Amino acid sequence: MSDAPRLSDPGAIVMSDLSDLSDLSDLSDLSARGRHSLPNALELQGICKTFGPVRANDNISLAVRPGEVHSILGENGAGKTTLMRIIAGVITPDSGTISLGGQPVNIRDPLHASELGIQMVHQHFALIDTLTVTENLYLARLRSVYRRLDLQELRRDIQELSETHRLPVEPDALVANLSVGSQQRVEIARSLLLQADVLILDEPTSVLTPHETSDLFRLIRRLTATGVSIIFISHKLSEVMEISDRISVLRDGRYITTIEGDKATAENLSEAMVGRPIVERSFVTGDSNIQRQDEPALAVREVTTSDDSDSVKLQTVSLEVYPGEILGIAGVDGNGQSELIDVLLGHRKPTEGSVELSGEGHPTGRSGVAHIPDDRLAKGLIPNMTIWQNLLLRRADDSRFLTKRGVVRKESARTATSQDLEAFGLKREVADLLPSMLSGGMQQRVLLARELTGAPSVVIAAQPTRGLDIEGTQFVRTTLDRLRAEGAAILLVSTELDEILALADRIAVMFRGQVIGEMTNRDADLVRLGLLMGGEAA
Amino acid sequence: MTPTTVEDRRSRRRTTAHLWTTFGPAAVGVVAGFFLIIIVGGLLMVISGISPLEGFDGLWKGSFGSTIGFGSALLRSTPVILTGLGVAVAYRAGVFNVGAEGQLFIGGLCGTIGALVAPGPAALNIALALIAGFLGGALWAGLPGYLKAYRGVNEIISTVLFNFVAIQVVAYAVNGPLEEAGSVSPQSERLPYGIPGLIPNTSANYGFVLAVLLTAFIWWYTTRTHQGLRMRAVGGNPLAARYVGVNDRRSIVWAMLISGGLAGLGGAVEVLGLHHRLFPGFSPGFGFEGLIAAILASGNAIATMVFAVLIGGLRSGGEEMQRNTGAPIAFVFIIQGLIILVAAGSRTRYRRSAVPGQDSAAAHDAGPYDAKLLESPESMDA
Repeated sequence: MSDAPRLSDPGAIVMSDLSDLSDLSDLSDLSARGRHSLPNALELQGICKTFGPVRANDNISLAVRPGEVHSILGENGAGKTTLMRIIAGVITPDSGTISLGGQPVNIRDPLHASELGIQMVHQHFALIDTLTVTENLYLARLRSVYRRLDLQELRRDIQELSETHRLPVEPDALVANLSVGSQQRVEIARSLLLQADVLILDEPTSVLTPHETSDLFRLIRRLTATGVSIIFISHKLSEVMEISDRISVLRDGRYITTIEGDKATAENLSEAMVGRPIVERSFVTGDSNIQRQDEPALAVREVTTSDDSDSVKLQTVSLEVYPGEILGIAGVDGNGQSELIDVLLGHRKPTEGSVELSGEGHPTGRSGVAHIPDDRLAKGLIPNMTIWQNLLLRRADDSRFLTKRGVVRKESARTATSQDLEAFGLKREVADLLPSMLSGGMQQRVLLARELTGAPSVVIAAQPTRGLDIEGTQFVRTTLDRLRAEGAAILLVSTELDEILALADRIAVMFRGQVIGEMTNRDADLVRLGLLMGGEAA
Repeated sequence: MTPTTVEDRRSRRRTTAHLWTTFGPAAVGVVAGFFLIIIVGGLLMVISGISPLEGFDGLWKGSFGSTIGFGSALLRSTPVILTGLGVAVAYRAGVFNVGAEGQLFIGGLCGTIGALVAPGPAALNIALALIAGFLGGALWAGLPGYLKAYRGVNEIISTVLFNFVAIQVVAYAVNGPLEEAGSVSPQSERLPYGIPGLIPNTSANYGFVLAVLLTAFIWWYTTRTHQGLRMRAVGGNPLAARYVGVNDRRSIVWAMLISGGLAGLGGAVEVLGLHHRLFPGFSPGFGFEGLIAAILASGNAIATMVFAVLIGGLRSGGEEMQRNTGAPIAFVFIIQGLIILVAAGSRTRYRRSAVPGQDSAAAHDAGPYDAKLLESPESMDA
């Protein structure tokens, strides 16, 4: 294997030298041909793309072989999304060439990419809820495949496709009635109808239960067996290692290395992603943490909410969180987690039941409750206000920010903000910036600084590491662990089981507005949690 | 850290950039509008057989080029400032108050009633009349505000419709209960006192000073008080504001009360300062001119005032031009329209180029300040 030494040694490639790179790409190209006697399904040569001062893609070259699962791994801002958008024709690169099946191509737009056999399944599906599966696919730009398309013919084709690929898709089902996993299969079916040679899956597992994920992986295997190449984008190392034939790592817009799937380890992948070894912190969970007092700091007692069309109805939800513990709420997104949080914050009134904070009544004033929202921009930060003003909104009683009459003490507020930010690893000057100037990871730190400064007794953390890179995730988890040690009662809502298992002392699983299972971390395992998340009470 | 560190300079530069984002497009609009006035205006005058020199002379003398013109410009801009401020306050809270004209009418009506009912002396009478005007406008805007906040009624539609109602209410009042005995035209009795003049031998009155003071107050309120910042938070992102603990509904109603109050005050000042009586056509559209000023200023109070003075000056200059040369005042409206088009156009273009990658992958992938603004990695596991 001529390219093996290169692949197993992340340090061997230095991207500063352009000629080196093209030589190596040629080598890998040759070796691929030698082995498969087929040209690469997709080959990128020296792709560059800059946005203003940001070099989103800096001379990236890589090759995807026919019928392989090729993962693209990288932290936020590493350039994965930009690269995929270039391949899918959404944006054009500043320089570099793209070849398909050995032929250089100039991808003009997404439609052109689709005609060339490049299909992409986005994180957010492009399906219309009120139409059936067949009708949705009819709307897809299928003209390149069908001369004249009628619904009956398309319906038969969908059924046939569904059988040949063992891809369960019901052509007459209304999309609104489909689970997220089925909707994803509809998207994949669309790609296959469009005759995908290269199928890009952007974070496909982020919305799936463990069970649905393993279904998807089996489907991916069947597709690659028919010669389709899959580009798999994910930040979950375990999944990437499980499914990939090869893994290419990007960092800071540059290509770092490609590792064979069977040689990949969490250590060498994360080191390639971050650029230095990462020590995975593990946290002590379980009963030993909990200083069981008489009163829980947060108690939800048989809360039921009203029935309305655009939210999940909570049904007799009961939970207790004691000081010094983390209660994890597991479950697939959209099973009542956000409704529960709204009830806890007093934004939604339960029709029955009550919420008690440290033995008190309903939390109308929420001075002691810190809330890390699941969507930083939509629910967290005010876009037209600077960071210090954003912090000020949560500091109504803080004399560093406001006089007694509610007049802003600007300089003092900026200094106080800077201090709070520094405690969360941000530089002082962030105080004067607007949220849009910060990356997701920094926005999250700002939110942590806003909510967690000054020991809060109750913390509600919703998806606190969503979209964060390894370091950002680590930081958030360490912070939550520290607060637990300081005696905070923490409710951690997460769709990532890894996160729940790493942090929570006890785990409750939500399904369709109900808590259908609760267990200690010690008794929990992926299989049991996965079944509960799918609604099968164990 | 001394005040002249790199960070400080950088943040100052960022502040400059911020100012440019806010006012740049509008400033471009004003400058381009100036040239448009010269070129298009001159062309129009030539076509209508008027000497451009005379026309521009009238425009200038009637606005900022003579004492009388200047006084008239201040007079004309006073209600525009006040309605503009009102629209700006609502704008900051994310509410689009298109009903400033109606609130101005109700303010004029309530101001008139106040002045006729309230006792003397002059200062007390005028103060009470102005307060009545403020309250009238506030209530007239508060209802659409309530409907938006608690019933989800679109405020653009409700405030526009309220304009028609307000205008008819005033027409009814001066034809009915408030009608001056023995008068041929529909109008109220003459008010006992008027707002005193500001510049001798001109029509400007102290209403302008009030408008300037209120501009300063609103600027301070929206940028330097907790209440004001909470209101702006609702305008920036109502959902996030709610999660921060702001009562977004109450903020919307509150903003509309202030907004309508200011517009109503504009009506009262117009009646008490200039006409000294109420009649149906006492506003030639000040509310809409205020709306234009506030939008050009992106809701910034001080910029709203500047644009309002320009708009008021343009109108008073147009009137002078009409008297001098016979060029119709509609000519001024054409120019006003052109300025707005240019300002709106430059704003759109600027937005598109200002934030590289806003719509592209870069914004999604990385914040430009990312690496520089994180503390060193060692300090993270604090």
